[in-house]
Amino acid sequence: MEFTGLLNTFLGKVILSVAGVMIVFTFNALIAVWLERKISGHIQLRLGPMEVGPHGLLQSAADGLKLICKEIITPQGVDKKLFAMAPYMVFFPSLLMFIVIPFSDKLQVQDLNIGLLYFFSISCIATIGIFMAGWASNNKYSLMGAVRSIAQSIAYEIPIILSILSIVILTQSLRLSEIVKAQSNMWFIVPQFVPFIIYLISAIAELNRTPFDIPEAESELVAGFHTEYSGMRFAIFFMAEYTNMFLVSAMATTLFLGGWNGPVLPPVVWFFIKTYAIVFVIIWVRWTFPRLRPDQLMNFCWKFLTPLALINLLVTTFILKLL
Amino acid sequence: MGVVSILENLNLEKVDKEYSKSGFCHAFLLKDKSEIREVAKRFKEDGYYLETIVGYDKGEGVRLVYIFNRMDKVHRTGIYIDVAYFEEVDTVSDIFSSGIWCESEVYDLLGNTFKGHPSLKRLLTPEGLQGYPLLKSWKEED
Amino acid sequence: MEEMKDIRQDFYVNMGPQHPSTHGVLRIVLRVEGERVISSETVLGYAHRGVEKMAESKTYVQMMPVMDRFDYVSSMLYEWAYVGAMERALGITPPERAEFIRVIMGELNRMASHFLWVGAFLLDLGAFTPFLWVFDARERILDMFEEVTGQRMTNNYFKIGGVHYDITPEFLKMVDDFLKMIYERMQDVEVLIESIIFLERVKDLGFITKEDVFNYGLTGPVARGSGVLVDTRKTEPYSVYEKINFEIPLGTKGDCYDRYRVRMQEILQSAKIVEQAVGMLPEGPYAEKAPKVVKLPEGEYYFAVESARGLLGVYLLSDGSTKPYRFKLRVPSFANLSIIDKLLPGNKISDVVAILGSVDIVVPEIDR
Repeated sequence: MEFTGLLNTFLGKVILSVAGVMIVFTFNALIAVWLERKISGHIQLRLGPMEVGPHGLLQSAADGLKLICKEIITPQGVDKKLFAMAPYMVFFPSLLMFIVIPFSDKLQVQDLNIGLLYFFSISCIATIGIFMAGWASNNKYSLMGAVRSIAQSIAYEIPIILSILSIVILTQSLRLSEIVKAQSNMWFIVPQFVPFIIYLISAIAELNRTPFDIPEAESELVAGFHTEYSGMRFAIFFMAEYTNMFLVSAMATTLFLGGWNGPVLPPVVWFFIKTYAIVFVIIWVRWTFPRLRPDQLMNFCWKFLTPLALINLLVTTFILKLL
Repeated sequence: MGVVSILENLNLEKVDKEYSKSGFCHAFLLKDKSEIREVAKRFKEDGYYLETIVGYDKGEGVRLVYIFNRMDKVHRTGIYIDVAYFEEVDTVSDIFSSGIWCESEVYDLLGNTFKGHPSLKRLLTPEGLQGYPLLKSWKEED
Repeated sequence: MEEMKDIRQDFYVNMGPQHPSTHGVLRIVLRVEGERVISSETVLGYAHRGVEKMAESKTYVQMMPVMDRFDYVSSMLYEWAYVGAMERALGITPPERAEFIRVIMGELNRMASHFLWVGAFLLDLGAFTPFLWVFDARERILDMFEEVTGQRMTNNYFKIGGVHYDITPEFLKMVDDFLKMIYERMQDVEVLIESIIFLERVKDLGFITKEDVFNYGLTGPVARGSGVLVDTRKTEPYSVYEKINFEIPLGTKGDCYDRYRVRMQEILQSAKIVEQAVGMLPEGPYAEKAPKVVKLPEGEYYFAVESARGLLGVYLLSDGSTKPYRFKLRVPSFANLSIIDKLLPGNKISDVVAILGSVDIVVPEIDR
């Protein structure tokens, strides 16, 4: 009894939230990496990790341990403060974005009334971190890679925002819990299928994953913005990517797939099932397609996705006005 | 494919070749080496391509073998020219672009320069190598 | 503002000599302005081993294993060229069984080389999965080689007068299993590869005209992709190719996509050739008696085969002794690569890998 009383205090809630977020984040880092390696293995007619733990389940833990133990090398000529700060600048926004995700009707750290806006604004801060990494590395190729990455991130924000605007119009609210409750009869993917596809494609581009992974491509001439990073700092970039993958899928679940709505099983379980289904699709796409050229990437965004999202917005408002 | 008729007006000496024994259909020794461009132009007009240029140290000089061939049916013809060591030869690289690298290779390994070659430099051996390896007189430095 | 001007001016970018993909030690110096290539210069010689000079101090038989090491991806075709030149000089004809075995091995080598090329090409473009699918097929071929010759690569299998070992029934069974699965596998690979992203990367890129083919002496899939029918197996038939039915796939436009399709179809044609050769395999000896001490009579000898990359010619000049006076290798990648300096300018950096990949070079054979 006293325990729940303690939990209800502000400090108790804060500690619980932090613990919850850290657990989800760690759980995701381990599982998402393992999923990626297993799925890519099976797509490529091989098994993936099998040695460490049953079916390689502990492989991510082993890799994490290795990265922690590596020597942290700071190359000569880098801007030391920026160089050290950049990985954290990319990583912390991801943690902050967990605050608004509705894991279930009761499990949400803070149900902001501008939840959706908050989520996408914070995600833009990571772009600054990428630029810091590329600039501070004092390396012509890292800078080029960072510049390409930023151009890609900024460009693909537009279709994302446009595609979720139609959801906002449907629910008349930016509050994520309300958006999920509004889908208790029908998931928004049904009337808003086109925005769902636009959102998914733009999200993969935001994550810098194949087919949009020009900034990280090794077989191109330029290496990515994180070339000069080794050991734990590289691990932080790596974790940021997988955390973002989870967050983007979580947002897709919330906005289009009905969030935690679902029969029989507890809501939290539904949420994770749907989120990891989207994660699976993202991983699947990575191992199927080659990568786009940078100019093709930009053309696709500006000349195809953005107009399509705008048209969809127009059609949605029209139909709502008519109904 | 009138190779013989193409070349009969030029200063040539026919070398006996049997295809099944040697792989060459015809071979000609060009006595006047400045006519190599004329010969190459005739081959180009008749639809041949320059397969390769082989150079070797003959003892008293270098012999270059230009091997021309057709793409529709084999008609491998060798044109030999004899040059002195390090002597300059007219280039055929403006007639056949494949000659650019072939002649660079000959220069690299045997030392003969080619007049009119766009960028004659060592192709295969390392920069700063003294001497021309395929000459029989080349001694390896330790 | 000063720094902005600096970035916009052209600067030199080095591609190689170390590559993330299997191109080998080749260096291309690109002068780029922003994303566009203005000029390119190929720097060779990183793998130059002086083999042609070395041949002058080795006997003909001692040079045999060296022939494998030029193109380690499909080594038996190179042995074939060398052995063919010597057999021409000595007037030895291998028995029919040996010829058919050579055809089977040669075509399997061609398939292995094309498999590796497809995988590396797609890897350059960013698709990781086709690499593993075709390497599975290539592994089966290498297992077959191990069964007969004892080695997976650089087999040293051909000899004057025939081949070193006879093929085993186990080998024929492996060939049979392989042929049963290869058609379906190639269909799967095609469906996987030819997405719209791949087509956008590869179509209308790196055009090679028919004049270029004659001018630069291009042979092999590079020439066939531009529509020029040049295949040593048809223009200069050797061994028993005249008895076997096969087609030569040709491209139409001469872009990277055509060269890719030509090679994909050549894999299927090679499978057909292997099927026919296995069906026509006669009984009999697998090697002729060859002289213990190999002394070629005086004169020049040339033998050309169709390697995976084009026309491969071996030129031997003999002075009657046991060592060649001059040994020259006419290598298809040498001519094929020379067109790169003409193809690259005007394209973007990302296209450089696609164009270079579509030409299919193996650097040790260029550098010798």
